[in-house]
Amino acid sequence: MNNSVNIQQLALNLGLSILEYNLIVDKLGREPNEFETYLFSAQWSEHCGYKHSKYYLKKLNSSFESENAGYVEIGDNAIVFKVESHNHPSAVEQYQGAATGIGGIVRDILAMGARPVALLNSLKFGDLKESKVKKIFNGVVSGISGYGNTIGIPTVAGEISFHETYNNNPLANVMCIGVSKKDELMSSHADGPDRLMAYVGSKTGPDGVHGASFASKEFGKEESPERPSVQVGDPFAEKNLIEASLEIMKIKGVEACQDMGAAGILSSTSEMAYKGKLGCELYLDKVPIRQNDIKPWEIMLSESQERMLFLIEKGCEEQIKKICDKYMLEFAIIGKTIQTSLYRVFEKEQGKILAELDIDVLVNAPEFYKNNVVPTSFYINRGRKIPSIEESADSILKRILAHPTFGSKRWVYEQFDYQVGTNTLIIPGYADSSAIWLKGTQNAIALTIDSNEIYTYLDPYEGTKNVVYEAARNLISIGAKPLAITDNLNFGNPEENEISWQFEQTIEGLISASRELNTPVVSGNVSFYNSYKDKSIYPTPIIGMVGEIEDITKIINKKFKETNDEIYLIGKQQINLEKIGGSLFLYILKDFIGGEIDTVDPLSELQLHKFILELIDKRLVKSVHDVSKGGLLFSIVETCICSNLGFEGNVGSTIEELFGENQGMFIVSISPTDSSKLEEFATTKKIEFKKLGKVVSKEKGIDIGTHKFDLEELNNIYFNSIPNILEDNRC
Amino acid sequence: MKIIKTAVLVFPGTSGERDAHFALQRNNFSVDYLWHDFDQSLEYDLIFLPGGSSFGDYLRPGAFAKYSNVIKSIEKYVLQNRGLVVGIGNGFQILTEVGLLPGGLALNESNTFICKDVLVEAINLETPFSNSINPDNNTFRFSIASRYGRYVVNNNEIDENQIIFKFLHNPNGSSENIAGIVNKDMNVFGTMLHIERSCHPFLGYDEFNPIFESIRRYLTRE
Amino acid sequence: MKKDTPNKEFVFEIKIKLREGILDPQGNVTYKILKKLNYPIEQVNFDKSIRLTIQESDFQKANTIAEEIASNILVNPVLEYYQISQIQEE
Repeated sequence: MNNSVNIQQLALNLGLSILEYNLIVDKLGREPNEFETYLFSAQWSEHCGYKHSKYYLKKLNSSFESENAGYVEIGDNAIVFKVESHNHPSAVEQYQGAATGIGGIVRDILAMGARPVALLNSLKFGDLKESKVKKIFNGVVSGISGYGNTIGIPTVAGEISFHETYNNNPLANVMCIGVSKKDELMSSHADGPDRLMAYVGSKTGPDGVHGASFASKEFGKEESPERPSVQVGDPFAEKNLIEASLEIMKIKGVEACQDMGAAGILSSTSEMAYKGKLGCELYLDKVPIRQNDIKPWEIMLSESQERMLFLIEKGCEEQIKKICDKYMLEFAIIGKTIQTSLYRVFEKEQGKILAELDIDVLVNAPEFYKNNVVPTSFYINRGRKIPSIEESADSILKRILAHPTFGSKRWVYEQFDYQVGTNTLIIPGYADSSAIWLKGTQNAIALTIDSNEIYTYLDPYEGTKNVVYEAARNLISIGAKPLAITDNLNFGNPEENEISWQFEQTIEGLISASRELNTPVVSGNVSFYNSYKDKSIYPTPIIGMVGEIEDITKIINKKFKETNDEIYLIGKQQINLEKIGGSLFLYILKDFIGGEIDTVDPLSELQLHKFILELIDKRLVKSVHDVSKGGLLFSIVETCICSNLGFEGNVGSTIEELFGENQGMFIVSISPTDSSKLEEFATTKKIEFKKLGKVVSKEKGIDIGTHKFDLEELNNIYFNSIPNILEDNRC
Repeated sequence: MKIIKTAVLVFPGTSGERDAHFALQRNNFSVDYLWHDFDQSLEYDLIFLPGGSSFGDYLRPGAFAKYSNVIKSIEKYVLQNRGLVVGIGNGFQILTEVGLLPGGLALNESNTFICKDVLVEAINLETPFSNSINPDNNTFRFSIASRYGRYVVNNNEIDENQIIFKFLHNPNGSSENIAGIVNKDMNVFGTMLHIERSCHPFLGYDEFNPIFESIRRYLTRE
Repeated sequence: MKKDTPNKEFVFEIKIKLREGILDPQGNVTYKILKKLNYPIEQVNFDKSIRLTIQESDFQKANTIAEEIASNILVNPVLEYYQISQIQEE
C-alpha cells in the first residue's frame, strides 16, 4: 500500500531533497512507486547524476556524458585513458575501497574495447604520524597492490602526498590506460531496438547497498543495521572478465558495452538505452544472484563488482556463453532495448511490472548552478605575509627530506608490480613520468599524474593551470609531446558557496590550460562531499596526462650520468620572491599556507617546452628534470640521490631562493663538450639559461658554495623517511 | 638454427604469458599458447609455465592449477624425459604444488609483495639451464615480483647440486638464499626470478639471457 | 611487581567469519573447483582461526582480554564478526 506521505518520506530518507522529489512527481505526472523511488534515489545521487558538476563540466568537454573513457591516437592505435576516485569507500574499508577502485577504472577502459596496459595512482593522506592515518595508508597501498598485481596490470607511476586536510578524508585516485586498434573501439550507446542486454561477470549480491529505508534488511545477530554492505573485490574474476570481454567484443553482433559501476544494473542499462535514444525492458528473474533473499531494488542498485553489460544482436548468445564458461563467469540475457523511450523493469518476463518511467526523466538528474562570488578567504590567504625562516639550509633540507611527501616512495612502489607486460620503459624513481612501449613500433605512451592541493587551495584558477603545466613539463622531461588530459576533481561539499566557487574556478583553469597546451580533456570524474564535520578538504583537482614518444631510443630520465657533466637551469632564471606562496617548505616548517602563488606565462612556457623537446630530440642533453615541489635545491638534491652522484655549483644563497617554488624551470645535464652548443641553441631560440654547476663524485657530496651537504646522510634520511614514520609507535 | 618448439601454458588468472612469448621469440624459440584444459600429449621441446596469479592465488598460489588437465600431460612429459620444463613465479609455485619440484613458496618475510631487481649468483653450471654460464661471469641481475616468494624446503628434500641460483642479498627470507632450483633428473627448473623480463635493453636488462642460451645449447646438443 | 597467585595459561580460539552479504572470493572459486571435481558441495566459506595463549590469574580476566583483542585488533568490523571459545589444553 503506497500512500503519498510514505513515498515522500522514503525519498527523503534515501537522500533525495524535497525539491527533487517534487520535480520527479511533476515530470512523471504522478508519484513514483516505492521501487521507482529507489531507482531515482540512486540515478539522481550526486555520484550518478553529476548534479552539482554537470553545468560546469559541459563547458570543459562537450562529450563528457558520452563514452566510458576518452582516447587519443598514436599511429593506428587508440590510447584510451581515464582517472577515477574511490575516496569514500577507502575511508570506510581501506583495502577493499582501493581494490575496488582499481576494478572500476579498469572496467571503464575495458568497456571501450581496449586492453588495459598500465595503472597510475594519486594518493592523499593526512598526517602520517597519526595511527589512524597509518592504518589508512597501509590499507590503501595493500589494496592497490593486492588487486592490481593479481589482475596482472603494472602500476607504473604515481604520486603521494600527506597533508592534514586529508586526515579524515583520504583520496585514492586511480588512472588506467588501455590500447586498442582505432577501428576496434567499442561504443556505450545502444544502436537500435530489439537488441539483447547481456550480463557477464560475477553474481549480484547486496554489495554497496545501504539499509537506510523503511524496508530494512533482516540482519543476523552479528549484523549492525548501520553497517553498509561493503563491496569486496575479486581480482580473479576481474582478470577473467578482462580476457572474456576482449574476446566477446571481437564477435560480430556485439554492439555496445558498459561497465556496471555505481548503481550497477540500473545506471548501465538506463544510460546505454538513453544514449541511443531508446528505451529498455529488464527481467529481474534473469539476473544471476548470489543469495536468494535479495530484494528487487537491491538487485537494481547493487554495486557488486566485476560485472559488464553488453548489447548484442540476437544470435550471438551461444558464442558469448561459451566464452563465459571458459572464464568461469556468469552469463544471462537480462533485458532488451525497445523503441519507446521508456524504462521498464519486470519481476519476470511475462510477470508483474515493477517500474515504468520516462527514460529521460530517470537519466537526467537536475542540474544545480550557483552564481559564485570570490570568498573573502581567497584575499585573506593571498595577503598573508610569507614568514621568514631562521633555520639553516642544512636543517631545512633534512626536515624536508624526512617529510613523507618528499621522502622516497620506494616503500610503496616496491609493493606494485611495475613490470608485468614487459612494456615499462621507465621504472619508478628515475624520471618525472613513465613510458609504456607500444611493442612492434618505435613509439611509446608517456604517462603522468599530478596535483598540488596547496596551490589549488590558495588560487583554484591559477593553481589548476599550474598543475596542468606541471603535468606537461613532466612528460616533456622524458621527451614526450603532451597529447591529452583526464581529470579527477576532488572537492568538499558543493552546496557550500566557497566550494562551489573553487569548483567553477578549477574548471575555468582547466579549460584555459588545456586550450593553451592543445591538450583536450577527454575524460574525467568528480568526487564531491569529501568533508568531515563540515570541514571540506582543499580543492584537489588531479590531472592525468598522456603524451607521445616518437622514438623510444631518445627517452631520457632525470639521473645525472657522469662526473664533470655540466648542469644548466633553463627557463625562469630568478625566483620571484613575491610569488613563493604555496611553497611546501613553508607548510612543513611553519605550518604556513598563504601568499601569492607563481603563475604560468603561457607564451614563454610553450616556447620553453618546444626547446626542451628539441634538446632531447637532438640528443644534446643527458638528463632533464622539471623543477617543482620543494624548489630548486630540492630538485638538485633529489637528482643527486637517485644518481648516486654529487653536485658542485651555485643555486642561490637565501632560504627563499633555495626552497621557494616558481613555475617554468628545468634543470638539464650535458657533456662539457656539448655545452657551448646548448648555449648557442638557447640564445638563437631566445631561451634563458644559466650554468649552475657540474656533476661531481658522490663522495664530494653537494656543495652549493654557501652550504655543503653530505650525500650519504641525505640518502639515509630520504630512503628511510616513510619506513621510519611507520615503524614509530607500531606495536 | 634449430627451431625449439615451446608451449607456454595459460591458466585462468595467468598474466605473464605474453611476456614469456616475447622473450622466447626474441631468443628464437617458436611459441604456442596452451590453455589449461589441454589434455593431449605435449609435442614440444620446452614447456614454459609463466608468472601471474592462476586462480587468483586463492587458497594458496598454484593450489588449484594442480587440478587442470594439462598437469597430467606435464607429469607424463617429465616422467618420459621428453624435454625441459621451466616454471617462473606462479609457474614455480604450481610446480611445487604438483610435486615436480621439492619445497614450497610461502609469504615473503616482509608480509608484502616485493617488486625489485636482485643480484644472483649461478652455483651449479652443469645443468641444461645453466651450461652457457661462464664461471668468471656468473653474477646476474633479474627482477622478482611476488608476494609468496619465500622458498622453503627441508634439507632431506633437496640435494646441493639441485640449487642453480642463490641470492646475493636475500630479499624475502628464502631458505639458504635459494633463488632457483632443478629436480633430481635436472629436466625441470623453477625460480621466482622473472628471467623472461630480461630480454631487451630497452627494458633495462641485457640482451644475453643465460638461461635461454643454456636451454638452446642443451636441446641442440649432439 | 610480583603477583600473589601464579599466572595460568588460557587458550582461546577466535573464529573470524565474513558478515552476511559480503563476497567471499576464495570460497566462491574453491566451490567451483570442487564442483568441477564432482564433489557434492553446496557451499564453501573461508573463515580465519586465530589462537591466543593468554597469561592471567583467572579465566574471567583472560576472557576479557581475549574479547578486547578480538574486537579491537583482530577483527575488521566492517567486513567480519567473530566467535570466541576456550580451548582446553591437552
